[in-house]
Amino acid sequence: MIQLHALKIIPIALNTFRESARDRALYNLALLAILLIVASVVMGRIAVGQETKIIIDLGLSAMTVFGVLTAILLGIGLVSKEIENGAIANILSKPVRRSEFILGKFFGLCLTLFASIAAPAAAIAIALIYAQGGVAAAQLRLWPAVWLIFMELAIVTAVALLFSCFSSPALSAMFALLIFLIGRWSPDLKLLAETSSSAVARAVSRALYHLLPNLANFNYINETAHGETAPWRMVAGNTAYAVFYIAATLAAAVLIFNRRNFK
Amino acid sequence: MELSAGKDGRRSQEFPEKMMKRLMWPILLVVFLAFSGVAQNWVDSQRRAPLTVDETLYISSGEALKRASLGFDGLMADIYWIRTLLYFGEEFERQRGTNQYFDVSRLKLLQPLLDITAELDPKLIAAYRFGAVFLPDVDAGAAIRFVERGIRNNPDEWRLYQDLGFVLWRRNRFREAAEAYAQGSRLPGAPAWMRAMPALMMAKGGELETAREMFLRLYQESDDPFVKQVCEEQLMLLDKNTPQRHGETERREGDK
Repeated sequence: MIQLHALKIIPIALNTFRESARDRALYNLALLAILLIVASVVMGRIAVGQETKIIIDLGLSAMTVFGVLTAILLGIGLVSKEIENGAIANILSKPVRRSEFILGKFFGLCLTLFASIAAPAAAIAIALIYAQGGVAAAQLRLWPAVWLIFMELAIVTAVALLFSCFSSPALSAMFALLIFLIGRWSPDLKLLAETSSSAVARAVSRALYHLLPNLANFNYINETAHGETAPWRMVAGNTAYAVFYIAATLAAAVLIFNRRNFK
Repeated sequence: MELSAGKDGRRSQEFPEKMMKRLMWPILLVVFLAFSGVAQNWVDSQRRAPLTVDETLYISSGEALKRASLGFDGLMADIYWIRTLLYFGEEFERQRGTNQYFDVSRLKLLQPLLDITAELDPKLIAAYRFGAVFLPDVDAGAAIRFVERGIRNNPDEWRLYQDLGFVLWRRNRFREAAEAYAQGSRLPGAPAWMRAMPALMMAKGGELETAREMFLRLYQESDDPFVKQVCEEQLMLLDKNTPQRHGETERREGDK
């Protein structure tokens, strides 16, 4: 039976959060996102009645891009830093399972990501209140889209953490970024799986479509900008997909990490 | 005494040195910035007038841009929409300087820019409406196709039917304009006056009997006082222009 003790995971998570929060890159990226959101208010003025659309488009897109950069920058160093500075031997000499270590690191980084997108999300909300001359119920449609972005970032984090277990930071960053790009193009993989004339190509495309994360699922930015609210069924379904995919990725990370010899 | 005097002497020598070291880099920064400003002014004065370059769209495929945008289609559409407006505004400013009537037909890139914007975000209504107003002067056929594309992508948007009717009316295609207004007037949110437009278009097109029938039916079916008033006025106008109907109008006024 797999036994995971929450009491051991939580301190690792909180410590990871504290360490990550000290990383200046995090604040710079969040600041850049906020600056872009402020710029969107100005850009909206020249777009002839499209102010709200531009604030949401630019704001959520900036949040996604900078969130992905944050997830990759922090995720690739989560495990490799501990290995490089030798702290891993000290950590694993304690009564902490390797799986608990990996999970603690992941949840700590998710906390960090949540904090790093909270500021841009608040900035978008304030920009919308300003642009629309007050608080309106329609502004609530922003939050399901923000939640979906957070789920997408959590998946990218898990993937970066997986690569961090066996690869150098530079390669991990490259792989994680590639996975993000392919994940965004996953509808094309599906199209290839359905329309290719070669049976081998169809089989490979279908396998890749299910193996790689389908990040296009989590992109509800354009619809939100046009005044639609993400349906709760869609949000629940995508959240479930994210949870299962992250669990599978973390399981792979634990598998690889368990077999590593740090002597 | 000599010792303390020596110490004071050393301190008084050290202080200016320390100040100089501390101020050296800020002073150098200001000096070099000033020199770079002077150099920039000189470069600007040497610059020749820019060559006249043909307007170019390096990427003319909306589909390619959609792929390259990695799912940020809406944002890319916003960028191209703003670019379209800036392109329009720059040409307007350029022509304003010549004190001549603004010639929209010179905006060769207007149609491709709007096409790309609509490809990236098919639900950007503002782009179709803008095209309906200004594209007819560039390419009327393209304008009609563009607005029809907007209607296909946004079938519930009554304003696009109004715009299509407007474009068709300007081309004297009154029957098609009437059809566009009729379709639009049936959509939720369409204003009451739009119901009278099909008949008006038919009258404009010379199909007076058809127009009369449409106005009469609308007068009988509508509850809107404004629509009834418009229909009554148009019926009177039509009857005056049709001699055999002129008597009917006088009889109707007499009955009142």
